[in-house]
Amino acid sequence: MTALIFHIIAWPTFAMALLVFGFAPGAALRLIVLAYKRDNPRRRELAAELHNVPRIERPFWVAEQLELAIFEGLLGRLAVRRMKRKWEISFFGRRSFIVNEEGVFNRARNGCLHEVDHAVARYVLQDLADDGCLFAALPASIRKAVHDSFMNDDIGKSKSLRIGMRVQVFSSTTVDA
Amino acid sequence: MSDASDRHWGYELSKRSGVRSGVMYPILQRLLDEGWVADGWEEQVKVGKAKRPPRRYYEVTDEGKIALGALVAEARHDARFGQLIAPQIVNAST
Repeated sequence: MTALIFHIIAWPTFAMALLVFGFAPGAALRLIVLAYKRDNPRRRELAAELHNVPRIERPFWVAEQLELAIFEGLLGRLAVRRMKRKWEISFFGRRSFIVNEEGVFNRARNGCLHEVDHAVARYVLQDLADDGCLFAALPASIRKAVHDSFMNDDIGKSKSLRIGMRVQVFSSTTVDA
Repeated sequence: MSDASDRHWGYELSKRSGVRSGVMYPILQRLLDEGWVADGWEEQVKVGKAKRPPRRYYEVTDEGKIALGALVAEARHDARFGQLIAPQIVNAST
């Protein structure tokens, strides 16, 4: 097995990999986790877990995180961006959006609506949007209107939609920003 | 997560189960999305002497205990998995 690896990998590449992952796994990991979005807890989680990995295993563990970061972090980032753009275009003309969990709803009440956008996009990716309702990435001006409405408690809400919550936000007159 | 009442860490779970961390973390994310586990961060006080950043832990929720217990019980009756599951796992998760 070792002989096979030596035949496949050129020495300079192997030496560089050994240098990066073998002697500076912490630094390599910090670069790798940049693939995740800034608010993704996986960034902090992986950096903290490294301290519990035995030194001898660290190069391999860090290499595994590279694979994870590419497929979970980088591709997830691109997919969310695509979905946001798609739903932003289709937003106007509709009157509602969906918040699928209580925690997200509470964060929305606190004015952190960008988190709603992210979470909503994730649900769309998980094919939960099969009921014809709208998931929307909200423009800043509308975010403010939504936030004000949350604070005034004048939004009708029901739990009829699965485990989630459907929030009736706009009248046709407010969607002109 | 044979001890359902305890806190668990991604790396620890990966080692104990023999599942690669590249597979374990996405599984944990799915469990979080389902509401079967909850996550949190270690308190700074406990971390202080070890001089390392606080780790993210996972705990099985009540909903998770029911759902995972049912899954394990079901798996025990399945000829393919029955012998792989120790009896104490079922007891701990129910």
